Amino acid sequence: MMNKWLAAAILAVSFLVMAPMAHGQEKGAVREGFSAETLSGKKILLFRPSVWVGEQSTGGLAEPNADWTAQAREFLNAELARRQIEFSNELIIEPDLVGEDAKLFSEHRALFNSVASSVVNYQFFAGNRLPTRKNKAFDWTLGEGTKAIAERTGAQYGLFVRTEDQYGSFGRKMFQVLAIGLVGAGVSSGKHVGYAGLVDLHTGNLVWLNADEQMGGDVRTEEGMQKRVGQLLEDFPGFKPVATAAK
Amino acid sequence: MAIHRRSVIFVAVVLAAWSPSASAGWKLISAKETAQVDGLKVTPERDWNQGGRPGKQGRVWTQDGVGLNAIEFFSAIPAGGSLYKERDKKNNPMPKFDSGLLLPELADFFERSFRAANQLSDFTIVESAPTDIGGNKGLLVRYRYTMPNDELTRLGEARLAVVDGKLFVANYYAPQLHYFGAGLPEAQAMMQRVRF
Amino acid sequence: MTKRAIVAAVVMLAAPSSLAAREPFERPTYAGAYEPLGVDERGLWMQMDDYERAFRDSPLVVRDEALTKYVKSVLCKTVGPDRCEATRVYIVQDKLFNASMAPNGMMQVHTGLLARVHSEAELATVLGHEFAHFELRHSLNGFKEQRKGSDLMAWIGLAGAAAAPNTGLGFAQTPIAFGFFGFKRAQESEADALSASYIKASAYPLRASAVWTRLMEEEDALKEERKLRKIRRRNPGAIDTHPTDLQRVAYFAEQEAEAGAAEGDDGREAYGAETARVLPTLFDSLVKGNEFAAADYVIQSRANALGWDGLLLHARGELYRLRGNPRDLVTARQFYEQAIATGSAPAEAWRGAGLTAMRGGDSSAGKAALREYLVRLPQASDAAAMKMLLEN
Repeated sequence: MMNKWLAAAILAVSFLVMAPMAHGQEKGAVREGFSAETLSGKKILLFRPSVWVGEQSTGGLAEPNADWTAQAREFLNAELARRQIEFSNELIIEPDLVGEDAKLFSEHRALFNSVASSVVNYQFFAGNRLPTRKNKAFDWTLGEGTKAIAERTGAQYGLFVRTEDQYGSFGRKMFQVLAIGLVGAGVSSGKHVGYAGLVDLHTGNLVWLNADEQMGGDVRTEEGMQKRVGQLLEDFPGFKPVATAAK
Repeated sequence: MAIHRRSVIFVAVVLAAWSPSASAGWKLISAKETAQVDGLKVTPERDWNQGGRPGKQGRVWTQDGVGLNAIEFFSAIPAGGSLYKERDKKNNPMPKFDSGLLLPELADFFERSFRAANQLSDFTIVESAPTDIGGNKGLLVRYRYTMPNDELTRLGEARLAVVDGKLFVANYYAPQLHYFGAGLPEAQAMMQRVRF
Repeated sequence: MTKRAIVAAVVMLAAPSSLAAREPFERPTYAGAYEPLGVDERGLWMQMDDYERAFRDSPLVVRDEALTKYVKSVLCKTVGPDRCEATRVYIVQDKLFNASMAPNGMMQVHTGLLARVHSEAELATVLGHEFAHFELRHSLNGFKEQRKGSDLMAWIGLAGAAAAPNTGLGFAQTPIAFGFFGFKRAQESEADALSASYIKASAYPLRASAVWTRLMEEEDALKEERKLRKIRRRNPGAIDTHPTDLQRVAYFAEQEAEAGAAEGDDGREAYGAETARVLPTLFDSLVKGNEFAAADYVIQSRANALGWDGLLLHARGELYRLRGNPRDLVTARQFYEQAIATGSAPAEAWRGAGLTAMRGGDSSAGKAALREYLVRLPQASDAAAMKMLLEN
């Protein structure tokens, strides 16, 4: 027992890459030339949110938890539905499709996740910013493949929401303590990523992004999810002016 | 709920091999200037960012982050060396290069290395054909794959050549949607113009 | 502890009283279409549908209707048609021995599982185990327990951090930790027990212990290759979520020894025939992975049970050629040639035979085989590269 844990501790400490620190981290950006006015009167398509909840094993490996994920997905949908009245735009829900059509939506959702993750890791996080992105305008895209989605739905903008949460497992927490005690290394337990982004479906360009890899709110509870959604939609340009005060 | 689970230690170790190298230290590679990447001379059309080493003899460049586009250059991997870094010899050993490999077998070596380094279950070679790389006879490998827990189809194009018993590789990969096609012409131009 | 005592202990731990052995098992009346009860359950059911909608388009799903239908038919024979109606089966490309079932009836069966079982009866025990979780609603209970458990864990974590660091080693011994992981283990044992009961009520004989025995042997083979210490634990550690393989073997061996349990057609031949067609799909990621000894064990054990055919011999040839030690190339060439001799080899066997012959210095035989490969598969993805090799 002892040996197993010691081995795990030593191995993992020697390999682990620390999560980016919270400081030096930007959390949101708007594309040049885009504003609430640009958005006014335009239809917004709400993509089915990507939700992933799991446990972080001792070594930091993510293990999905279907039940937590399902629960969080329900809370998220309920919360988005509840806040729908705060949007000044007409909001339409992703249609239920099969086959190639369904793939068009699911692949773009996955691409949004990759693009948002790139923005966070290579632009927002100052310590790891790509030289080609230094002092440059916010310019990211999903490509013109989104046009097909605009044609299919009549929406000009697409709103993507993604949450990924890893809760430290018992072993991970134990390991965290061990790591501090034995080698004095700080190891993070848990991971709480949230992205919300608005894409111009005619060009594929990301016009607004709010993204953070250290979000608050326990998505496994209703109140926690309300807090999370509040953080995700903070500064969203498409809210009715009154709605912000209500938050 | 799963039927079976491997031991905790195994899981811990696999993770270690998976951890993305988040080390900063990006270096600007300026457009139109010839850059010396280990044993290769590469001339890009646009600005690129040079990152860490995916393998002992390798370098990675990206424009928008390695999840969106990347090109790797590996120079002079000796017989017995691995393409990608062997982070965990016991639990995820990397295939070793054998200078006796026949040209078509370079695709097999590349596939096994790429699968092991990225822990892939889904990887398909679309085409492998003879090509020219920096004036040397080589193999072009076009492939398609998906990362674990990601629904994005990704494509890649690698060029491999053995020169004096040592392996040289240039490997470009990106998501199929938008990114792969958008970056392909420049990636191909760089790979074709590479000099040893 | 003597072997008998272990078995007795395991059986006591594993079998909940309502399912106690001995008395003939009747499947309880199936509750029929799912009626979610309470907020947690309703949420799980509805939201898993969302997950399934996204999952069914995943590139990892093997799109082979005949295979999927076949696996589902084995599930139906195992748990009965009424229960089986509620499930959707997906075959997932993954080399590990695994299967899972979500609370809305979505079952995922990994190709690594299909590669490692040798009969319908063996497959039935694993599918039955997963179905048992579904019927026992373990997912939901797991969710509640984990939510409760994780709060406690956080608290313990804090307390531990505040105290001397070395006390961390004692965490697993705390009653709360035992309760949490023990709870999961008890669920697994319960599912094993119910699975055994399904089988007894079905036309299949119980063939479970052999599956777990082979898994242990495979693990041993891999550990030996990698010079890792072999640990065979009789009792699970405090933080294990599953019973040990040894415990499972002991439990199932006991069940199988009961009168009538091992009788009936195990569907070995049908399983062999149905899976032979898709062998490359089942074995590719094993063969192209880097667990040589494990893959070789899985290939050989299938051959022992179901015999060699062209595809399986070819798979073994690929495994050896890809490892590529000088003696491996010689061995691989023999496997390719044996594959060709069966008359059921895939075109790629000539590719392998040709490449290994050329590597071994037998250039003329090698080129002849590669030519044959191109005749058989003119559209091969590497046809151009092969042509170049032939011209030199």
